[in-house]
Amino acid sequence: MGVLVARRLFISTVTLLMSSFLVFVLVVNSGDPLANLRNDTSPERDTKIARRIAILHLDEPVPQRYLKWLRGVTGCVVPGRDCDLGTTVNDQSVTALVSEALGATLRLVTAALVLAIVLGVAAGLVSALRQYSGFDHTVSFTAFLFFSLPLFWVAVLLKQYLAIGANNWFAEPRIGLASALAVAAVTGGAAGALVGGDRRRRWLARVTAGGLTATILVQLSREDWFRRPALGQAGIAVLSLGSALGIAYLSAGLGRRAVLVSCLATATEGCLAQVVVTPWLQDPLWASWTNVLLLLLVALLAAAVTGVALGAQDRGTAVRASMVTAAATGAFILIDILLRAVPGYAALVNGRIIATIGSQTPEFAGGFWEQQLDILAHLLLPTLAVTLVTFASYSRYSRGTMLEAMSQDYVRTARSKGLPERVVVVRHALRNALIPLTTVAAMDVGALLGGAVITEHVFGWRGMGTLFLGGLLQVDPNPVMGFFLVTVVAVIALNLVADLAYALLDPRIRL
Amino acid sequence: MTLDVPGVAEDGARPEVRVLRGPDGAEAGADQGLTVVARTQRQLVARRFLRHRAAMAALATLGCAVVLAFSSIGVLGLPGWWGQSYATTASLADGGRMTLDLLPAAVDGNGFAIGEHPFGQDDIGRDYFALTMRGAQRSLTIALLVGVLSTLLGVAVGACAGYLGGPVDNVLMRGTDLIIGVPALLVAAVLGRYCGGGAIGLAGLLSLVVWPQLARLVRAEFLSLREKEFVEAARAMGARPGRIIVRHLLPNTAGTIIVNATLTVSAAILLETALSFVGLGVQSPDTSLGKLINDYQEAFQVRPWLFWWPGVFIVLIALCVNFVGDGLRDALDPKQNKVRA
Amino acid sequence: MAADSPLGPSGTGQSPSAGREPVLAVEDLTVRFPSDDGPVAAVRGMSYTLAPREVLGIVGESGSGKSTAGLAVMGLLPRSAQATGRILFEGQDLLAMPERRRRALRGRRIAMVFQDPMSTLNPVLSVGQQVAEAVRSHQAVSRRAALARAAELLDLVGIPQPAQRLRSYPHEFSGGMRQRVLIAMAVANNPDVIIADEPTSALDVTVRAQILELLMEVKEVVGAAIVLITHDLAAVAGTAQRVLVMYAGRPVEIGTTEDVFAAPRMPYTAGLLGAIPGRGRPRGRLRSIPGAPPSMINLSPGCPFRPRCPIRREPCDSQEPLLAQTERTGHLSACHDWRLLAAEPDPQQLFGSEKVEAG
Repeated sequence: MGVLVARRLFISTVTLLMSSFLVFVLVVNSGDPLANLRNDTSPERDTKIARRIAILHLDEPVPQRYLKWLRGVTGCVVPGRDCDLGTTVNDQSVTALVSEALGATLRLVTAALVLAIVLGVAAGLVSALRQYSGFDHTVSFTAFLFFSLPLFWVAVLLKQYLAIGANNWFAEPRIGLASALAVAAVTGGAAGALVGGDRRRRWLARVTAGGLTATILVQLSREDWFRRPALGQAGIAVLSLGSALGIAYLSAGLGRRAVLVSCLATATEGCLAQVVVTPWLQDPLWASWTNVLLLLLVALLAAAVTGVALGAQDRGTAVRASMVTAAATGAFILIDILLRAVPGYAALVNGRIIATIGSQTPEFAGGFWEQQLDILAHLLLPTLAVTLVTFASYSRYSRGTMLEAMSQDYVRTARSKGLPERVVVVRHALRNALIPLTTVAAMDVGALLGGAVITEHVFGWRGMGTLFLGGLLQVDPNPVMGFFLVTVVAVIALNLVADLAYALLDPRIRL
Repeated sequence: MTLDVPGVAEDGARPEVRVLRGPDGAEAGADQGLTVVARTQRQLVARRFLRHRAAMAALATLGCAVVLAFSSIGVLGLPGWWGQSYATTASLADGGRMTLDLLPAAVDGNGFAIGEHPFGQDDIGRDYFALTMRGAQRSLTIALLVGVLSTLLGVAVGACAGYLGGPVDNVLMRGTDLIIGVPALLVAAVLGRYCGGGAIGLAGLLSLVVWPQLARLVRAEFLSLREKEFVEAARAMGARPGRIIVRHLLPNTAGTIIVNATLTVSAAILLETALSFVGLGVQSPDTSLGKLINDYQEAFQVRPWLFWWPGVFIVLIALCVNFVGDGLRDALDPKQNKVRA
Repeated sequence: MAADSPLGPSGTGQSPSAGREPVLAVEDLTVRFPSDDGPVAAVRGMSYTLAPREVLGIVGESGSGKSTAGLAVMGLLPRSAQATGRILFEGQDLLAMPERRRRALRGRRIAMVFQDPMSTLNPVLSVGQQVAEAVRSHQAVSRRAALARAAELLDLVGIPQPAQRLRSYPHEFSGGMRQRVLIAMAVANNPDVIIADEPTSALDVTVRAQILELLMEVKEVVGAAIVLITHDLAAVAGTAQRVLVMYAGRPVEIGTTEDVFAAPRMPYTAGLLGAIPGRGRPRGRLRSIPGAPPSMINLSPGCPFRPRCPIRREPCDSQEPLLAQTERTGHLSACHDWRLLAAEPDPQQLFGSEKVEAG
């Protein structure tokens, strides 16, 4: 395996060297870097030109310039030397610019990728299981539509309609009966598709889910919940116990009491802990991600102990299910804290919660949780845009692989053992259907970074994309090469990781 | 991501059954007094495609859009039926608002109307319908050109690599790896700087970016096909490599090639418009749908129709092409559940 | 084998073991699939019974509907399929049962061994996991206990070093070993009926006999009856007490193995027997049945076998023969002219010989 990784790394390095040289030459020759200075009428025109020639080493032949750039780059991998990605035409350090921009771009790409995979796979899975149902047709059409949407167009639409609409709504956050019913119709339809079975069962699910949604929305609106949102202790309890039920069902079925009991116990522990944890994390003195992670660790440990104690015959399953439950409960507690910070944040940004420009409010003066909200608010629309256009390929892909897996002989064998359909789907079909997804996801990261360029352009982020576009338009090779380097290294690394993961998940593949 | 050539969305099985059809599609038993439905492979594919309602609707819509774009304002110096030119400026009528009214009188009291400027006018009074049609013409031309050029390139490279194998394969595949490893938009953006803003040049450059996907697919198919008995037989009879590739291997790869070419067209539309939108693709005086959106992005607040129409046409074209591609794939590779008996 | 048992009430191959309740009784089973050219019946009115511990061979060409009939009993037909008729397991109609109760029977009382062990095991789960899963799906035992039971089962089906092999993956096993694993999974819960669908066709000839023998041994251990679906008459000859021959979705001959092999009363069966090399005719010629099975789409009225039949007559074109009693009780045939075959000293002679030397 080590040999294979080394071989792959070597080939990748050679490919990287060749493609970087190619891109360097292409960028350098793509225009005249002095174009804007030639029309300069100021008296310092000649000194400016001379300065730029010096910065970009325009007096040297291109290969030599490339080698200079490469020498700086090797510093990033060779210890003891400085990582130097060169300077821009304006003599700024590209290394500094990249490290500044990378965070925002990575946030966007990761959030969009995770959301697209989770939503896409879920939609693809359900539409494969309910092939040719209304849900399947809806998802298929939606996927095709999203697949055909130009990202920049979606981004502008979201910015111009959704952001402004949502912000206006936040000024007077009420949900009328009509809108509540519209949302209820959507959730009801989704519930009907999820439940399946005969007509009566589906209608029961639709009416229940729809009715519940409408009631909750109207009630929340009446209590002015949207102005000061929070899950509250009751909300956290309902949600975490509900997810405990769901996790127990998915992992072992409700028939296995021990797993169910251990999940419910874990959720209860979480709800009790919330009483102490929430005020502690809200205290500006303690609010930090380190503490959140620490608490998560404690919660997982407690869940594991609970699983061991109550798991009986299904100890392993109980421990795993309880840990997932603990993570879910923790997430609800976190969401609750963030929601409680909304009124404070709204006051700081004059009520315009959904941000449309930049990746953060400049010179923001809020507490820790307000800052997190600020980042989230800026992340929301760009992520939504990238997720929308990415979602389609995942839902189509997972639907296809899932349908294929469901028609395999081993799925029939699993059924012939008398396994419940849930086990057949999750353990036998889904597992096999998701393995090729690792490769697809890794390949997709490159495309996502490309998408980030467009999205950052629309939303005015100072991310990697801006660096790239700006450099390209000014015939400034170093920022372009910086973006190129980060992108290609990320793609290479992720492909390698995907291949290793593939080998880990599929025993037939040996490295 | 929409910006890469979509080759992943594979559809799975369908529930119909195909019973007892021989390998050539014909059915046995003509002299047995049984009803016989003999169809060749090609007829079967055509029938499945024609029965694919979404694909047929999409094909019709696409056809209408193409005819509309090219006939309305004319092409190659030929005059079109739409009276106004995309270049003529005029005074703004009603603030350049749209005169198109699709709603019947019962809804808004005005009734159906096309009017002088159905899509409105831009800020210097040009007819926006003519401009949009002009953009659509250019974008469609680019997309089709990219589809054709990259398919030719991809098939040529894939065929050579797959059939010849050995060092040729190695060199060619490392070359494709070089391009595939870098996000398409990145390379396209850099290359886009070389087209000088012209649509045709851009199409040529974009083809250089999107072909490797197909080359890989064709290579993979060739690798498995060249071991098949019928190729062996052709070789034993003394057929030259060129003849084997053209007569035996390519026809058997046609399905993959056609489907992929279709999807490349939709990917190319999105790639071109995205590039033009960020100012790296088509430049003035040439135009495209993406460039139109970029040009009038600032006008969104006051004249949103300048933003909507080019976008609607991009979505329409890409959506239709994708549906056609899906229909073709279903028809060529139905992967139907077989009856187990 | 008692050849003197009375006919069943439905007039079709009642189980020979008189007095004992059949464990499985299939009555007028029909399975239809939708297709491009309208619904197609893969199984058209099939009836048979299976006594406890009995081995019933179901024989037919591929496409004759024999596997579909097997899947129908398991309740594993594709969702698009429509099954009508009755499948009685211990007197209860499986087709009328809610899915939940069917699932409780599946794998516990009725198990299945599939064809092609290459694709019937999940490639990403270890053999131990897959066998233990069969145990745990019907017995409330811990993982560890289930794995121990899985090792026992692997030992039962003759896999050496069973405890070590639990951790292996299917691709690390040979075809014969995988088939053994499938048999182990099928008998994990001591079922009453095992449906073995071409359990040996995908295997090397040398392994086939071993696997069949194993199946018979294991069947005795757990006390199950077997429906052995195959196109291999030789496999049936050595194992089954009774044989059911299928053609174009219908049973065309049922009887004890001895009766059917010695005195076939349906030309198709005679043709099949003539196509087995070497059976008592070391230097004889192989005889093949001319033509191919009919398309199941738009079957015309009349006997579906008539285009290939050497003794076809006028009525064969208009009337499809039903299963009917022949000169021996319990031996049924669907041929208007079974008496013609009875008059023939060697019915296989009816099919002209092909120029192929018998091996």
